[in-house]
Amino acid sequence: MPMAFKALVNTKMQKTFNFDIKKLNLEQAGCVSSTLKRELTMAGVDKKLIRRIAIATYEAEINMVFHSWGGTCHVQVDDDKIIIRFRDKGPGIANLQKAMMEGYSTASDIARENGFGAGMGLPNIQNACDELYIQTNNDGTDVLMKFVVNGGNSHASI
Amino acid sequence: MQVYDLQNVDHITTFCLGDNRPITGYYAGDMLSWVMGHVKTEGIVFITMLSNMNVLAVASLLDCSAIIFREGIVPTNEMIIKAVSEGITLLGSPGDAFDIYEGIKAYETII
Repeated sequence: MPMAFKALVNTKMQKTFNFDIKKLNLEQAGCVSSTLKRELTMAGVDKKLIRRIAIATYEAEINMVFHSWGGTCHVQVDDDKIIIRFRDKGPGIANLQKAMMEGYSTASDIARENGFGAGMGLPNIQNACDELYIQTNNDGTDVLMKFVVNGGNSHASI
Repeated sequence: MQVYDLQNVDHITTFCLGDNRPITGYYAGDMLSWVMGHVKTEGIVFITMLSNMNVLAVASLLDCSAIIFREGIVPTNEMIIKAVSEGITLLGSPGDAFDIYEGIKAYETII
């Protein structure tokens, strides 16, 4: 694990959420984003930040539902930052560099029938969060997103 | 123009009413991730031919004021229940996105 990665994970937490995400369970997709949207709205977090978090987590959930064999999402909410980590079991992202490009998609027919497959999932995640770390191999994918609370130095374009 | 005004537009049918909010703009699209990446403001009316729960999830996280299902597409009961709980108005039209927008503009000149 790279140092930056490790440092982000070992932060003092204030509130945490855990979710299980199952393969091809479309009914459940959106659970992370809607829960976080509700909780963060109640906590008085900036609406634009909530929107970015909702978009990034929804895309990650959809990716996990359609592409992985299932996994988990762990959320840490701190005063100054929110760390969200999606970890799934296989098969990993075959070409991460291409997957980060807008318009590149490996979506299945079932994903396309549901309105996905624009090739915007990972680019949207990258544009929405302040920092993004992705590790992927045949065993699975680990996506860690960091959002800075209260302005920060955000370069997010979403 | 408020969301409830859309009910008076030609050929528009109402599936359910949510919050009567000011309309900030319109966006037509069927690729949800594209829509998520490009709708920048809340209160938008989302025009689509997709009919599944993901449409509502996206409309909700983008704080859309209404969804208009175009070209005769209808939402499921489950979608209507969800929309009511989220305060999102669901409407429909037999026309395409251009017909719908023309109808809205024509109505705006009357009110």
